[in-house]
Amino acid sequence: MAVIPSIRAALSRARTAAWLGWQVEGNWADPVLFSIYILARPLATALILAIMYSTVRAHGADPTVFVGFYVANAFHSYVNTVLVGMGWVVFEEREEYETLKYVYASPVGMFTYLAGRSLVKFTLATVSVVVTLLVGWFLLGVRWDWATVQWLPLAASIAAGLASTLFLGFLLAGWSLVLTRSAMVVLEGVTLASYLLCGVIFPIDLLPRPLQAVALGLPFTWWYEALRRFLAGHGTHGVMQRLSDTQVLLALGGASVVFAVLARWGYFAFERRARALGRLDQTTLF
Amino acid sequence: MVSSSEARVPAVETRELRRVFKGSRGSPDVVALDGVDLRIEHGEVFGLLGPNGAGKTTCIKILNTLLYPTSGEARVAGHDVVRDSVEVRRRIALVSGGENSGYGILTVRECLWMFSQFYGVPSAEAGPRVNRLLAAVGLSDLAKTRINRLSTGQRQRMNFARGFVSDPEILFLDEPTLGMDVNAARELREFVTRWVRERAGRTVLLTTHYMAEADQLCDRIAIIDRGRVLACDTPAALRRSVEGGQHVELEVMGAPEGLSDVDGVAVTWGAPHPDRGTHTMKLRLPDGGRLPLLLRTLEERGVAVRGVSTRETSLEDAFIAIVGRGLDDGEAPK
Ligand SMILES: Nc1ncnc2c1ncn2[C@@H]1O[C@H](COP(=O)(O)OP(=O)(O)OP(=O)(O)O)[C@@H](O)[C@H]1O
Ligand SMILES: [Mg+2]
Repeated sequence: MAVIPSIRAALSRARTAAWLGWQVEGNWADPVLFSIYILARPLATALILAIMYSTVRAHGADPTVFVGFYVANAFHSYVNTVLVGMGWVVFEEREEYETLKYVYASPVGMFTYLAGRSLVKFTLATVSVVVTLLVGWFLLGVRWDWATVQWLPLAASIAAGLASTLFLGFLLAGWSLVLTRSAMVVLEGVTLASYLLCGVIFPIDLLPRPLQAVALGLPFTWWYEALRRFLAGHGTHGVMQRLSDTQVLLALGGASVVFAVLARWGYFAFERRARALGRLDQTTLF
Repeated sequence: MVSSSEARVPAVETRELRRVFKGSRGSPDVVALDGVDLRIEHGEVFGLLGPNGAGKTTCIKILNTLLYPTSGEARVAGHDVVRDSVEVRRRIALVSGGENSGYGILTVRECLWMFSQFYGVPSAEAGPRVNRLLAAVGLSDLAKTRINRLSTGQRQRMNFARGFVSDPEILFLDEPTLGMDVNAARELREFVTRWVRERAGRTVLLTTHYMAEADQLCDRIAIIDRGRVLACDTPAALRRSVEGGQHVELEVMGAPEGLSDVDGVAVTWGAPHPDRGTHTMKLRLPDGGRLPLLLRTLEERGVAVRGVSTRETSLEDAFIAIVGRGLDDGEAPK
């Protein structure tokens, strides 16, 4: 009955949260500093990749492999900025601004709030993806054949990948509610682990067996494989090579759904735990 | 949905509210609330007084949906704080004093406007309301100043104003004037009084360590210690409930060393006055009529009285008596 007005109210609140996000992360006085802030990480990684692969190529490796990893690394900005960023929002609101309890006890709702706050992060990540790809294309020779791009599967996999980014962001934000000072370690850890586990900069075949199993359970591993196949035109060798495009898409879809369900359940479980422990307003750092 | 003001549900109600914090690394558990029963009606300004660690903030956190109780029940405007958090949040606002919270990059006005939007206040109402609040807390001139440029007290005044942007049904003020200068504190107290008077049915739950503040603002006061309500009544009734009488301070000279009582009334001594060489003698007379008799006795003993001042029992006396007495021989609440 009152669905439309309540959706409108939620949208208006999300817009306010997005506005706050822009003030906090985007609206800096100095555009040069700001560009460095959003581009430093992806470009630095891109450069490391370029150096790494030029060394490998000197030893006769397949040059198309580099293109695939370059693309995956560019898109990994979403995980770095949005997913992990949602955890950082909780951490900063509690420890630095000390506003988390006021936001939490207001009718805004953490879902709406976090969704709004992540909108700016999403925009920044998109800028970073585009710039990294442009730098790759024009400066590093990271090119693909536009004629072989498979647009529909590409769009589907990007949609699934972004949805997983958001859902896992909620899960990580929930976890951050429970953690105190250790949230910093966890968030940095997640950033690092995602690089290692998802086939961002090297194929998951190089991982030890148990970690490879973990990697195959994560939606991002499949997302990046899908990007390599449908955009760059070449998948990775090894484990992935045996799978058809359809199988990769199905695995990505399956992992995304599983994590969506897990995130929904997990976020609320974490929130209840945080409220039981009295963590919502517990500052430990400043 | 029943509107809480039409039905006669209390604004705040707790039953057997208990909260235990697990002790960390071998230290014993802390019982912050130990069976608290409160009933606060709509339209009341209700005070929660108690020594440090009494459980006041814990109680407020539970009522603000920030913390689960270990057992017992708490309702705000008839809504259970655990099961109906969303309904509770629509109706409340919280101000904690002594905090430095705020997004440094926002201006004062932006911060207040933003919270009004989180509460869904229509823009047409939010603007003028924010302006009124800024004027009320004396921040109109700083409306466009970034929060990270504010002094501690100014930041606190902004946070105080934030509590009112949603025009909440029930407002929780946890030591709101902590660390504010005398004038600012007095202005805010007057603002609270006016705010409640001008709006029928608005409720304020206040904690403070300033007895005068509680006395001036509160319709009723609960005194709590170690998580239990020791007394709950109007300030006047609390004052009456402890032994009354008259508190007398005498400035005297030439009192014999070690004089500990006069006519059976116990005496406490202050330090000697550095210039005048007099001593301050404090005692409490069961009734004011005995003062002339006491002065004569002192004269007979060769004590010269240079000054006399008296006062009635204050809320502070009542507080100290009630907390000192504890639960053992104090009357049970209600
Ligand atoms: N998160 C927590 N973990 C463990 N113990 C806690 C926690 N929060 C509060 N306590 C303990 O619960 C008791 C009540 O604390 P509370 O903050 O409610 O007191 P208070 O009445 O507000 O005191 P004050 O006047 O100092 O503000 C104290 O003994 C405190 O040490
Ligand atoms: Mg307190």
